[in-house]
Amino acid sequence: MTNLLRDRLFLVWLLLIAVTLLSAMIGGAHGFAAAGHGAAATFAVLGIAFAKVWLVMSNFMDVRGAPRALKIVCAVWLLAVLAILLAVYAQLLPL
Amino acid sequence: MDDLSVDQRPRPVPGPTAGKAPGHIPGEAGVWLLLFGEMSFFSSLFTAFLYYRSLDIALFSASQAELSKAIGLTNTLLLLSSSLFVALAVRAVAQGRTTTAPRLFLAALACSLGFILFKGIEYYQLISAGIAVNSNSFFGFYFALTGLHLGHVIIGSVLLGVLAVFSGRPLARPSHFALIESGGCFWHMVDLLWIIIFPLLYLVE
Repeated sequence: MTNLLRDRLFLVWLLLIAVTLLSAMIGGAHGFAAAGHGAAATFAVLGIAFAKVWLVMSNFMDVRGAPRALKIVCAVWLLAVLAILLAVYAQLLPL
Repeated sequence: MDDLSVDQRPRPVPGPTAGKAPGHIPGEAGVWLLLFGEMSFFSSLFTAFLYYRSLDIALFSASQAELSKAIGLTNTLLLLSSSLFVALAVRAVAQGRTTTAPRLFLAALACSLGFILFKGIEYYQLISAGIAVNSNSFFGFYFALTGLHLGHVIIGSVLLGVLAVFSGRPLARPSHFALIESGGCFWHMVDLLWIIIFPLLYLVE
């Protein structure tokens, strides 16, 4: 068990599970924020999701050991997609 | 970067640092083109989903309430765990542990079969309740996104089975490590897509 707790892959998995449970409590029909805070809950839930994607990319897919160019492409791509999704959700884009 | 030498002597198993040279691109470089292509395609669907949602928020909220958040959450936990097993398996391959690696790939496969089972249960519940792909635009997106994703889960499951067999043998060539790593990256992408699909369909308010 002490070995597991020193293993970065296992710790990242624990963190992923924890934030998944947190986002399931925040969002959805019976979430904590159901009463009038839907937008804040959605921003939190999508922000958590993209943070999870980054954790999986950098640790499980080993992007952290990759050339800087790949890290930058991944980070910029994720931030761009998150920004577009949040903007469309908040009806900030002239669609 | 195939090793084309004619030396057929058994090679030493790769050490813990195999594939970990500084600035090493995980898997084949081409795999990343595939991954970004797939993820961009899905992202356009995610964007369209939120756009159509903004046109009829009441309908999307009412439809979302028909989904089982518990099943969506369980499937998220299954895929996150499968990704952990794949990451551990690829590390085991790098360390030349040919007994451990196949077991870890099989553990990932078990998680993915669990995902498919729960997805089937959810489809069954929805269809039994008279809901279909043409019920409304929410369920059109629901079945398109989850169906396309399920296709990737099934392809990925076959791949995990192949990796379980492949990883039980010592690597004949260093380039074979990149193939195993590429397969692993494909599986992680299946996980990544679901990480975003779950909040979009089940949690957005």
